[in-house]
Amino acid sequence: MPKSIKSDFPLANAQPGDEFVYTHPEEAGYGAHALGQPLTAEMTELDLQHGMIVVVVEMDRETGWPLVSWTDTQGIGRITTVDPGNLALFVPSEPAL
Amino acid sequence: MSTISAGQLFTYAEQQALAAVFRKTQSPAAGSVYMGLSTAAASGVLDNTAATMAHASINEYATASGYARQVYGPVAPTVASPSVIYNTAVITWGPFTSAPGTCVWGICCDAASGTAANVIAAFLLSSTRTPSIGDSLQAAAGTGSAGVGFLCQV
Repeated sequence: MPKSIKSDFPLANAQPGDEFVYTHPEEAGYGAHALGQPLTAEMTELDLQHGMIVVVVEMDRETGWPLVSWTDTQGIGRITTVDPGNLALFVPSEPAL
Repeated sequence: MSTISAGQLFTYAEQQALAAVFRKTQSPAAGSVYMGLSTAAASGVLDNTAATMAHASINEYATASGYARQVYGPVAPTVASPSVIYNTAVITWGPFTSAPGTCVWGICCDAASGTAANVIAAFLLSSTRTPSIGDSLQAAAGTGSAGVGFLCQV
């Protein structure tokens, strides 16, 4: 039974299949945000970049933290765990009009 | 304890395979299996009788690092003896939001998260890797040749 985490951020209360946009106030990638400075060109190419869409896979069955899938710039499908400190960086995707 | 070698099925998976082909039980439904990363030492630690990712010998990376298991995506078993199976595409983990330690093994299991996942096979990395914060970690796509990608044979 997946746990849930207590947070008002939409990603913490999402369901599998829900879409979000990774949105960084300074347009930094997810790895660059964690490091606090730009990554090498090679790692930047592999980073979750500002504006990319992620889809909720499930909530981690031990921690309750969201697992999100996304596609990197090489076209490779990825899954990344989002820790509670980074939930604010994921904004619900607006439905198409 | 019996330890495991590279590209070897865990006892759990051997039992699943034998039970399926000799029609003792029905095979699990088709679906994804996942590749995790383990910090277990290269020899003498991984126990081939481990049934789940909860086993003390597994030593999987912590999710607190941004880590998550990735879809393995194998080919159909090859028409050869021994028949082999391997990943068809590059597999990439991360980006890591904290340093996760040194990975030594890839561990294939049957769920995207959780220690209740059943273990299938273990793959010794050709060289260990210690990603830093912000890094992503890539494994090559398999070709069917030993030492390239995650290749397993019965």
